[in-house]
Amino acid sequence: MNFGAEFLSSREVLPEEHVGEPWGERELGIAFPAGPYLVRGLTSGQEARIARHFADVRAELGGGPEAVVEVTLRRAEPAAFREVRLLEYRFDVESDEKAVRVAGWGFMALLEPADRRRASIWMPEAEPEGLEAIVSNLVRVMAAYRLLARGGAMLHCACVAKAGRAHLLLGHSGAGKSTISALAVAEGMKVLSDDVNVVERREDGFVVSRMPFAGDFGRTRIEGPSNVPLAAIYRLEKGPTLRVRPLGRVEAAGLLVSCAPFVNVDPACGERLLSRAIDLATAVPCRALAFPKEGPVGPAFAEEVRR
Amino acid sequence: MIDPEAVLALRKDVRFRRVADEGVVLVQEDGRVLGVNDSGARVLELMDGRRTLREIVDALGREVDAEKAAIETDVASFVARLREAGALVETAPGTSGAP
Amino acid sequence: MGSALPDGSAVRVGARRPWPGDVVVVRSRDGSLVAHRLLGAYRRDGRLRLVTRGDAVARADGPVCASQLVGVADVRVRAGARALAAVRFAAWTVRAVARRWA
Repeated sequence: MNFGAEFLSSREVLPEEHVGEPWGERELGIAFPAGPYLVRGLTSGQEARIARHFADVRAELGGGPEAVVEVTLRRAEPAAFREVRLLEYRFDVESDEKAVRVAGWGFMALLEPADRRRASIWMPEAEPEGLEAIVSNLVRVMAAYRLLARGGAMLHCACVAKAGRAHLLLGHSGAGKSTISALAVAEGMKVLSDDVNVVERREDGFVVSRMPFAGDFGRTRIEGPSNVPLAAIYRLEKGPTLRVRPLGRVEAAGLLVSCAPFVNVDPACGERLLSRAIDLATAVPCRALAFPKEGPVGPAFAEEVRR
Repeated sequence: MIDPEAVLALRKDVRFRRVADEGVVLVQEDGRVLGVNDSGARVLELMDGRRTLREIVDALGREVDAEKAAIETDVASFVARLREAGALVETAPGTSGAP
Repeated sequence: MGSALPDGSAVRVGARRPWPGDVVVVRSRDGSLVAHRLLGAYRRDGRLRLVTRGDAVARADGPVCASQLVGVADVRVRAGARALAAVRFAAWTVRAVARRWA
């Protein structure tokens, strides 16, 4: 499928540079992982909607020398976009040595390759129905790249925490991330996210935080611990009873690569992503966790996780 | 059959890292991740885009203290598996090797 | 088993956990005992399978279930033999461990 063919009238409509008139002059700060992000070029209407959506992650950016990531909303000609109606917001991502490009329903974007510090989003309407989804999705793509560049990773996985230690639970769609998260809550553990989590490197190891707006049992507020030290990595499997066995580092590293969205389809990120996956798989014990779909997993699960 | 005089290299978009006594290979084109054992990882390390299969077998034979003949078939089988997995580039003998 | 163990040799067998490079004794499907070099093991359908091969033989034997393992032969294993087993097992170990899922 050609990049953007579903959404754009032609490839050439996506600018190669950060050009184009911003919608307005307002701006606001977002404290998303690997940020903060300064979303600028906004009308007051756009500012109000984005501020409401990101209320839990607002950041006051003082205009000082801090290294913010700039995301500018710009006008685009309606003729650049095809008529399309989707049931959910989705988008194409493509990259080369020069830039990361995104094209989706009602928007297109360019991410600055140099440490991904700049992005432009072009839209034909000031306040499309999916404005919040567009900005969220774009910031999430940027976060994936920036986290990888800074020694961490964004991962499709569940993460549960007990006694101040985080356990990543990896598996693809249907593997049981939401199920195991719900079972963990029943055993008194905390869930960071049941869908997307952020791993960052600290001096003495890796720490995990939830990715805002991902999965979350429908929660809208940020709650629960963040920056929890990583204790172990699990591959989720189905099985008649709760069973844990060691998982090879190679298997664990491969699984981590497969669960790192956006960057795992970018050849320019391959070397770094592979290194990162190996670092993670070598830093903590890796195990395969089989569990019955219906549960209960009982206190055995909490016990296993405590080990 | 792999030509013993062919220069072997990993394809441009394939990444390899050793992990202790194993190795991980990332085939970016379709995002497959492969695992290999210690010897497989050693062959991959020897596969520098200049060595032929014969030279890789020679080098490995010295390290493993086994006769070349004893390991030639096995190294060739391993390399054939990599080729099946789409991870390999073979340059015909006599042409300029570096990719 | 080549020069290490001529056909018909008597060998003492122990019950310790086998490592690649060990000579292991396996009961074949026809009931006979075979002493071959263990190259390695892999998991299929949740069961462990061993890959063995006689030193002087060109091909590996068909995979053997762990239940067919009688024991580990009490013969000295040179370091070179272990490394050679790893080389012989290399092609077997090329396996897909994950497929990308964004």
